[in-house]
Amino acid sequence: MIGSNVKSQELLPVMHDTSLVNHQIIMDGSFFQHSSSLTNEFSRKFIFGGEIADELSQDTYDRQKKYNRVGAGAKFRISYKSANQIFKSKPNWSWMIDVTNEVHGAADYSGDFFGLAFLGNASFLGESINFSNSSAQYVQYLSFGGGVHDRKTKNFISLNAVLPQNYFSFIANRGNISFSEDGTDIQLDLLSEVMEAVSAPYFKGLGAALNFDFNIPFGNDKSFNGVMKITGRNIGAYQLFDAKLQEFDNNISYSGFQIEDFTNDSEMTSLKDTLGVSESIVSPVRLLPGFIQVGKVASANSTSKLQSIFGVRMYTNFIYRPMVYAGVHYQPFTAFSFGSQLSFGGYGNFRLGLYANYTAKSIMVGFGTEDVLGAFLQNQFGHSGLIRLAWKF
Amino acid sequence: MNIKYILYTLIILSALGCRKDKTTWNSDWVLSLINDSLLIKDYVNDTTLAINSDQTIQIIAERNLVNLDLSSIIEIPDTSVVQTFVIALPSLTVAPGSSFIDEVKEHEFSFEEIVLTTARIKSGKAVISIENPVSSKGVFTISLPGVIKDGVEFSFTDIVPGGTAANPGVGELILDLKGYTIDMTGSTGQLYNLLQSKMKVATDPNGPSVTLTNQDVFKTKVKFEGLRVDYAKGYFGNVVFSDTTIVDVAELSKITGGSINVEDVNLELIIRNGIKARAQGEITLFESINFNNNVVGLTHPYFAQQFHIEPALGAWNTLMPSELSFLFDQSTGNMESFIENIGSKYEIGYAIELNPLGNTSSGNDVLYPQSSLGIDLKANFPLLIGADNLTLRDTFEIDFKNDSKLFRIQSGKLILNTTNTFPYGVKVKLELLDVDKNSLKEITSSGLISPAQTNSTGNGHVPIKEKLEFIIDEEVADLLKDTKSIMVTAVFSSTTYANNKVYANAALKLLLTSHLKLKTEL
Repeated sequence: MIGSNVKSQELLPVMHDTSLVNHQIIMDGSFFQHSSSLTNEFSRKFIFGGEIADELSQDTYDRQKKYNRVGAGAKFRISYKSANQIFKSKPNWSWMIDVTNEVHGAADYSGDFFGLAFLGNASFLGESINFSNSSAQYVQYLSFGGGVHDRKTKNFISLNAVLPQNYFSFIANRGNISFSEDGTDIQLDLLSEVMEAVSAPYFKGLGAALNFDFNIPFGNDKSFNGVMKITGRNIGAYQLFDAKLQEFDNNISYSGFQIEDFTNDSEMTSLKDTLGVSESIVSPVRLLPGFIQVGKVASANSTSKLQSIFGVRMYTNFIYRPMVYAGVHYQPFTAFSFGSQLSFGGYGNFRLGLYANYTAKSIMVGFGTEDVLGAFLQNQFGHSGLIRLAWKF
Repeated sequence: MNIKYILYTLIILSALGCRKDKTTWNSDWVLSLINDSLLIKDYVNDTTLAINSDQTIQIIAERNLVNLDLSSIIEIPDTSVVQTFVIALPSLTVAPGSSFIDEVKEHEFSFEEIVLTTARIKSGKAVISIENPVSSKGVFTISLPGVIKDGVEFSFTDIVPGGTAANPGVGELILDLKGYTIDMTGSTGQLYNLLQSKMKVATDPNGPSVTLTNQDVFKTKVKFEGLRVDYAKGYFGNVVFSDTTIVDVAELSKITGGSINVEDVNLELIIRNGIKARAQGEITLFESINFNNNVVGLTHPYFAQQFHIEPALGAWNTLMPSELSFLFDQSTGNMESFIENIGSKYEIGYAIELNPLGNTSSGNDVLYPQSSLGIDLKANFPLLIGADNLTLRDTFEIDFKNDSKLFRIQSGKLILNTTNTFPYGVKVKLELLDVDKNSLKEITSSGLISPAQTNSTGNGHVPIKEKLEFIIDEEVADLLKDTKSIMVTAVFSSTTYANNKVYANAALKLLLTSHLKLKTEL
């Protein structure tokens, strides 16, 4: 049997087996979008395009809470695991390489901030909009590297070089905007920063990350038993080279220009000057959007056709809440298995996942979703899709 | 293995199938664009407007039309003063620290007609060059007797290295002469245009004895460059200033049509002489040229006649320019029609001659730092101006950047709220222009600003509030991306054409807000 089955974001579910594998080429592809307050009817306009009707903007705004989260990402990875022995004393250890292209974005925001962006200020005349502690970040990077893996226990550890290609972040530590009843007076109180990777090279920085799997059997035949899997992906950081940092710290009032501003020869004050923007070039270090997951996985060597799976997943960003999950794995035949899990947390709330695997002599194909309802219902809050192909030779 | 290739092909096709349309949405924004007030009281000051006891406005404008550059009267040419010395003996040995030259010479500035006895330098410099032909160091002192600043005579000492007769040691220095007063009457105090220089040379007090021969030439050269004076006394010669000057009134250049009616005009044209010298002059031309290139020449009995202007009185801080004024009122000339021409250009021809009869002051012409010579205009009459379709047109460069993906105007309207206390009504029209100033679209308002009516007590106008709307439909919104400037046409008409008074409470408050539907595209 091929080493591991389909994994949503390379995670759900993972099946552990102790058979000795040969050479493998594995391709993983996945995407997800998950939110605490954005329905799929709304978010699909960003995934598939199209016009967001005024009614949909209003309905979505009505659903927003005081604090909201959203995250999205996609990844494609191809890896090769060798079957050649590399240590005399460890006959099962061999080497591996992989290349990954990943994009990840996340944001947290106030409901009124959403309303301002999608409805305009006409709906907020005579009101104040607080968007303090709102943030957004986006990164896209390539990584490549290699490591060692145990062909039997399926433990592995690899070190990857990380090459960020795009980066953007926005943080509003203090943000409040007020509009008078007739819209003529605007009061803005802002303490925020925007950072963007703008350096000329194709790669905007350099970093390193660890990936690892450790499988730890527990229990015995007489008690509850299984394998606990500790998974780490993209545990590392990168430094951006010469990123543009724009900082705002201002409290300004605006009630219209004077006629003189249009008639005199001097240039009108630019928006940046009005906002009191200070610009600088910085080279900050940022954490990768990595995660650690600890959980019980299904075992291919189990005599039971029905097995439990459960665990917790944590991302290395503060917008992502720890996600807990639990489910069942059913393997009616050796070549085929499927399962389902319920999860809670992450960028949103409850989701129901579903997956299926087919394993032949030299290939394996698996596909699934962490949000099966989101695939069909517009009133759900996320999307998820994943596919995994492996070829053993 | 075929199933493997089929699956890989499916992945690639799926990836290609993920191409998405653009995401768009609309949002509604209310924003203040212009918030301003035009208050007549803001222009009430010593040199523009005043308020009469009945709350009407009095024009008390005072403007300078011509101001002549007096620096051209006294022009001191760049002058070099060279002083040399050679001993009369074949040979002479001089002990250390001994002076062996102490000589004063007089030099004459080269003026054509001007006779100066005193001048103060406003700016300029002296470039000093010294040549020492003997082998040891020489102590050179150059002074200019009669050239004084703060009571101290101009004097400069320099130690110049030794040299030979063929290759003398050279010392050079540049000194600022600003503020020095030059007595040009020479050593006798009876002459003019003279400058004295004094050269003193001593041997190095710490050096050896020096043997001089009659082949050794000691030389100093003082070159005066760019000297300009701010005070001069003497005879300035017979100088004629004659020109035809065009004065542009930018505020009136925007008028493109209509007419005005002015009443009770009272103007004074003043020829001003701030030099203590006799003058003679003539106004040859005063014409108003309006938006239609219609020319109205101002008439006055004294125009095209020679007039004499007395010298200024007093001195320094008490200097009082001599003035010759031409009064214009209802009975003099055609001032009303001249003003009602609403000229944006005024052409003034004049000739002013200093010392027309020669040196009648016996060399006592005086130019002070604050002296001036020019033509001024003073106005003092009530603001009684009627307007009939007086049209102002102006163009403002603007870039709506309506090809921006983030925010693009879909439709909306501009709302102009006004509160008017002027006795003038305004109709406003906007016209969008492309980069070549071609008209793209005309946007007219739904209403107009009405002229205010006089209140019951007759000491002001009653504020009148209006709301004008300029509709931006989708056609206009589409044109905004090509709009590079906007032409504003305002047509003014007064409450009454005659005796149209403007009171102290006159004000126009403007609040232009935009109500726009913006489209965002990602």
